Amino acid sequence: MTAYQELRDNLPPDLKKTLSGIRQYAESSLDYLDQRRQIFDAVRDRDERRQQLAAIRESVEQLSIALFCHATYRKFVVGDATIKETVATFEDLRVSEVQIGSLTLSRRSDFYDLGARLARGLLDAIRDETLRRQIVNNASWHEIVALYRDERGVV
Amino acid sequence: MAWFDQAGEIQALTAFFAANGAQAQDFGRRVYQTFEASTFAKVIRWYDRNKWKTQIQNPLVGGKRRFRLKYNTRGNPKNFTYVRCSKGGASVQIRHQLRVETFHNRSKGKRVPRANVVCDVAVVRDGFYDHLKGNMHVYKDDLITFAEAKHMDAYAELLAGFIGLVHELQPKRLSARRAAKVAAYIGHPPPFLNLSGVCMGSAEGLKATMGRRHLNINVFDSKSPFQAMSNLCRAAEIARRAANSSVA
Repeated sequence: MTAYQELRDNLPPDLKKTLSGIRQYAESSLDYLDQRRQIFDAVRDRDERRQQLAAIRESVEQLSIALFCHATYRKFVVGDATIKETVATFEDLRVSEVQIGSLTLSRRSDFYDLGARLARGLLDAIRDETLRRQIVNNASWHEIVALYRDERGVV
Repeated sequence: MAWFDQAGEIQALTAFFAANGAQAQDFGRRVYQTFEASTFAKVIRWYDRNKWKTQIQNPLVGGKRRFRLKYNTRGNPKNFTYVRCSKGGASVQIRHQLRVETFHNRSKGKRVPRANVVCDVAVVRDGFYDHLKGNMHVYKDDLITFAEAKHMDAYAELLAGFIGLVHELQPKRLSARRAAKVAAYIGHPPPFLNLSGVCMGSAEGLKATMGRRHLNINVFDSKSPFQAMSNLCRAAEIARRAANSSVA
């Protein structure tokens, strides 16, 4: 099992789908497909070809993880803002608690600040300073892809 | 140094999700439900801010009146909270997750499947709806306006799907001229799609064409959120504030 697969398997199901979707997005980039085609055309030796394909696949996996961090962070931050706004809106209507399934949503509920806590935790889990800065500054996907391409020269 | 330390990143993220996976999953599941509730609340606030008298009507649960919302298409309307709004002799009900008959449905009294759609938020004429069960619907003539909530960034197909829904429920809304002739629509917000995210490229283009075609519908996203006040009332509010400040 590769490290990437290990990460994917440890994700909650909905986030697993997010990571797979992002990987499909990264794999469908024309640069990646073009590089793959070039390797198939130019490299005759099977071992050499396998190595080169593995190298570009790894770069796609890295890009997928970077974009996943970006998307997940936004998901928690946007979700947190949504919950806080909803609680405030219902408070205006003099409803202090809203029941969502088994969960009671109010200013006092643990869930109230959960998105912000998850976002902070996720950010702490990202070691790379450049990536962290990009995420906090809410860079676009295209900016992350461009930075990644500049650094790695691939994908 | 490489810009991306893949092994380190994976290790840290794996540890994070191993520790917080259940919470993250629960959060993801609840947020979209919360967003639906938020859209319901925003519609109530619209009526409140536009000088309607709003009264929350709670169902009897275990012998007590409780505030209770519905988060899927199942469940009978009588078991969930709704809001009765009245203004100048007119009264309407704001309900959520309500099954409404489509404009072209002809199933009344016939043994054919009913054509109906569940609206996230529906504003209907004031009346008795506690008898509705299972797949029973509110009649199309009772529907005044409605709203759909989507907790996501919009793509063009989503907007096209919403236009299709409007076509099924209130086709006259797709022409400003025809919509203006329907007395029941006047004084109420047009049907709208409320998005928690933003409209992405092609969706933004589609939204622009909707404005050009003068469709009597709206799309709100995080960049241009739903305002709980009509333009007329907003102008009156601004004038009132200006008058107050000049007095002060």
